[in-house]
Order: sequence, then C-alpha cells, then structure tokens
Amino acid sequence: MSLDARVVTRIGNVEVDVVIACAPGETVALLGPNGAGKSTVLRSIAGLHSITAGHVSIAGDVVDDPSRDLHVPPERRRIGMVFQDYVLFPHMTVRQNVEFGPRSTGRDPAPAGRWLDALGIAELADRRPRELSGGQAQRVALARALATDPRLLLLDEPLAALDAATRIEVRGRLHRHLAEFAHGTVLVTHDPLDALVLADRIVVLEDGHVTQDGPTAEVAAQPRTDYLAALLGVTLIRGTARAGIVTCNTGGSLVTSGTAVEGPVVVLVRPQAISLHLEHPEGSARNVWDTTVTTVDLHGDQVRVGLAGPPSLVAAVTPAAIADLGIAPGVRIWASLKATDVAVHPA
Amino acid sequence: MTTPRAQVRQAPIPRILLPLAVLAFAFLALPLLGLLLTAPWGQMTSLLTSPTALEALRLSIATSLAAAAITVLLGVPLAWVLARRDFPGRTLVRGLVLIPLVLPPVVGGVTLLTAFGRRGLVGQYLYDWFGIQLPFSTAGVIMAEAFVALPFLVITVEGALRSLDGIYEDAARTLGARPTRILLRVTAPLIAPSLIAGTVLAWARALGEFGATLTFAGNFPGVTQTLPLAVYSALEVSRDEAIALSVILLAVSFTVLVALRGRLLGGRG
Repeated sequence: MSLDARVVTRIGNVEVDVVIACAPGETVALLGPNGAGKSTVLRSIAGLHSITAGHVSIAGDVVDDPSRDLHVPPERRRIGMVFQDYVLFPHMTVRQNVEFGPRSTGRDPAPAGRWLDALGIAELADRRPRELSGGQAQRVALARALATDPRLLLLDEPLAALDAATRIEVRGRLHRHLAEFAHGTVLVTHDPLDALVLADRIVVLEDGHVTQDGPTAEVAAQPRTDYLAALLGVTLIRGTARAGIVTCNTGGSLVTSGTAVEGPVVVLVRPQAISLHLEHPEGSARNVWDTTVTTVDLHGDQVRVGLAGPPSLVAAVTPAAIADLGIAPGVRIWASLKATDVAVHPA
Repeated sequence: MTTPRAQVRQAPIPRILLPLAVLAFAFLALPLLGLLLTAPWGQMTSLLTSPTALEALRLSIATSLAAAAITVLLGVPLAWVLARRDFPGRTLVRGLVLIPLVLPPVVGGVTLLTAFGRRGLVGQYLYDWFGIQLPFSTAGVIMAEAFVALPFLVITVEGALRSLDGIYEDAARTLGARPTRILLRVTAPLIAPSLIAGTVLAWARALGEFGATLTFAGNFPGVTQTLPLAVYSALEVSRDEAIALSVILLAVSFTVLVALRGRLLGGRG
C-alpha cells in the first residue's frame, strides 16, 4: 500500500480517529465539511501534526507509531504535499521553487525541469509566484511536490483557491496528472464535485470520524449520512463527450444540453430528474429508455429504483408511484431524462 | 465634454481636531527648525573636525555598529524562540525583553552596574577570575547601547516570524529540507525586510543612547564619550559645537527615516 494509517489525534475540540488506506495508483478523496479534521489528518500523514495513537505507514515503511515512540520527521518521509493556497516560496522563481526539493535532499535538480515541461509551465520558469495566475500557481505547486520523487502525494484543497471558471479546467487537468502518478494520492476537499471527478474512492469525514468509505460511484449513489445526502445522492457515470452526446464507459449514451465539453467527462444525474412511465413517453425529454428494474429501496419518503440501463441509473419516485406503476425488480419500464438534467464535468 | 476629475469624498474633520493637529505638528517641527536656523553653517567644518568631535564621531560609529551586530546575533535567536516555541513563562520572558523600551535609560544603566559592575552579580566574577572590567570602558558603551537597542530588533523580527505562520517552513519540510537549510533559504529571506528594518532601528537607537551609557560607562573623551555625550558636554563649553554635533545626529535620524519610510510611515515603497 502507498498509505496505511490510523490517525488518532486532536485539533481544537475535535477528537480525530480515522483509518485511511491508499493503494498505488489510487486517488482517495477525504471529503467532509469544514472543521471535520480533514487537513489535520493530511498534516498527520505528512508528519506536520503529531498523532497520539495509531500509526502511519508509507510505502510499507512505518513512519509514525506513538506506541513505539517512533516519529519520522516530514523531511524524511518522502511525501509530496500541495498545500491550500499553494505556499510557493515568494522569493524564489518558479524554477527555484521546483528545484528546492531535489536540492534539499542533495540530489540532481535537473529532473525538476522535466516536471516544468510535463505540467506545461516551462515558459513560466523565471517568473515569481506573485506573477502567476491561480491555475498556474497550482501547477507549480504540483510540479514542486512531484519533483521530490514522492512515494505518496497529499493534496490539501487543491482547487479551493481558484475561481469557478478556472476550477473546471484545472480539475480536469489535475485528474489526468493524478492518473499518471504511479503511487497513491490522498486529496482533501470539502467540494463533492472535486471528490467525484478526481477520486477512485471517497472517505467521508464528519466530526473527526469516518462516516462512509467506498468506491466513488457507490458513495455518490448511496450517501449514508445527512451531510452527504444533501450534497450527493447522484448517479455518477464516466464517459466521453463528443458533440453533445456522452458515450458511457459502461455502455449506453446520454444526450446532454451543451456541446462545450469534449473528451473525458464525469456525468452526474440526480435520481429525482428521472421519470418512470408504463408507455413510451411523449414529451420534451431527449433521453428515453426501455429498461428493467433491478432494485427497489425505500429511502426516507422516497423510493429509489435501480434501472439496468444501459446506462445503469437510479430513479427516485414516491411510494404512491411505485404502487401505481406496479414497480418491482424484474419489471420492464420506460425511463426518461431531460438533457438539461445531465450535468457534465470535464475529467 | 470634459471628464470630471475623480475625487474621493472625505468625511469632514471635527472642528476641534484641526487646530490641535496643527499645534502638534508645530510642536515637533519648531525645535528642528530652530536647530537648522541657529546652526553655525559657516564654521561647521572646523567645529566637526575638532579632536573631541572627531573622537566622539568615531567612537559613536564603532560602538553603535558593534551594538547593532550584537543585537542581531542575540536578538534573532531570541525572536525565533519567542515566535515559534510555546513554553511556560513565555509571556513573562517577552515582557522582560521589552522592559528596556519603557525603562528610563538611566535606570537601565544602574541595572547594568548591578549586574556587570565590579561588585555586580556577574561583574565580580568577571573581574576576580578574568580581570575583565566592563563599566567605564568602551565595551561598557557597547553593552549599554545593545541593552537599550535589543528590544527594537526582537519585536520587529518576532512580529515578522509570527506573521509568517510557519506554513512556508512546513512546505520546505515536506520537500525534504533540514532545519538549518530552512532557516537560511526560506525563513531568513522571507523576513529579510523586517530584519533589516529592525537592525536599522536598533542601530539608530544605539547611536542615540545617552542615559545608560553615561551611568554605566561614564563620559570619558576617546573612551566612552559618544556623540550624544559629546553634545551634552559641549553645551557647557561651546553652544555652537553642541549644535553642530546635533545636526549630525539629526541628519542620521532623517536618513534612517527615509530608508525605512515604507515601514514607519505606513507608505508603500
């Protein structure tokens, strides 16, 4: 494992006890409201915050174990960290920032140049951080972290400092860079969209404790806490957008309302946006399927109906509708979804 | 069509404030004006090249620079500890460090005598074991100056370290940098403007030191008679020489202000 940790500590009035693991090549999002202790967990993994119990193990090496009085300081953990607001050294150029890591550990700083190229910031090499836009600063921070050849990448709210428009673009690019990183990545965010687009797995943190942990699509579809349900309860589908049509990776396609986004995307569909019908529906909805009901679950005052697809989706309807339409697993039914209810995010 | 000039509408000044503000300015400015108007400009060169004046000037520059160096050497580590380490009694330590700021310098001189005088707390051993006698020596002048100047450097640098918040050092640590490298390559450059400002302030304070020096080091021409002491002594003999020496000190103060204008006058640049 890239990371295997149980972080027990305290920040302010919050008692933190979190088990978190991350496989090589995997991106884990630590999602939770402000003040839940997310950043503290990340800083504990980095060694910047001390744990009172538990352990931290990075790429198989135990770097923190209070029971054995073991604490490897951050500078010897070989982690790469991207801080909130990026914390680039303001008195150094972009190149000096990226070379700082290799130089600090007595290694050849030349490979740092490769990261400048890889992240498309080579032409910014001689600029100072104050001359960079938010998106550029984020790439420099990522290059600086990767140039140390880390065994684990830690990202603390990597998109929070960006404005809405830049965010969409940077999020998509970050997703591609994380996919290329051979080791594990732990990402802290309070924005569910960041987690949905960037992460393979979501660990939900509320008030210092894990309330849900699972594959991204599963956590998106079946939020188990009120906090998450308010944010999520959506079906997540990965696919490729071309000319307003998203071809889903798991089969099927969806008509969307715009053609602005092209290439790899994450599509989010609210279950409430899907209507169920006995006959082929007449109307404005651009997405209409003849499909089979797979599951029927009561959630509060709504019933969630699983649809085989393709694409496989979840619809939320009232208990009365279930009775009227005679919905049960195995029943064939018509489903419709307006193109405007298909939310497309570049990935 | 002419474009109206953009104007910031300012709140009206309460009527009582304006005359008092003018009075305050006049109170500060008139003595300076008086000094410049009564200065014997014609004899300036001969007055300032008298042996006493030259000795005092040389001694002042040497001792104030030495005192400034000592405040940097001792003050930066103290500021770092105060800003970065939480330890019991930190508030008390910070309070003690600031005492020379508000203590009458004469009293500062007396405290130095009780500690480093020939029968002082530490001074008796320095004298008995090593034959070192600090009071009434040039070294004593440097000590008196450093004593009053140190707080200026400590509060300036501590403030800068505090506002730095440790986040840059954290970033450097995750990049694999050891503490000494972080201090030299990250912390020091980031606080450089404050370090320079604090050093200049401390040096200016050392240059102007009078009370503690007089008490602890005395007023011996060539050994402990710095410029301010020379001004005081000259007043009894030659008013013109006192004024000429004062003009020198005023010029230095003015230069310091200009050099630090961004930090002291709240301007930018």
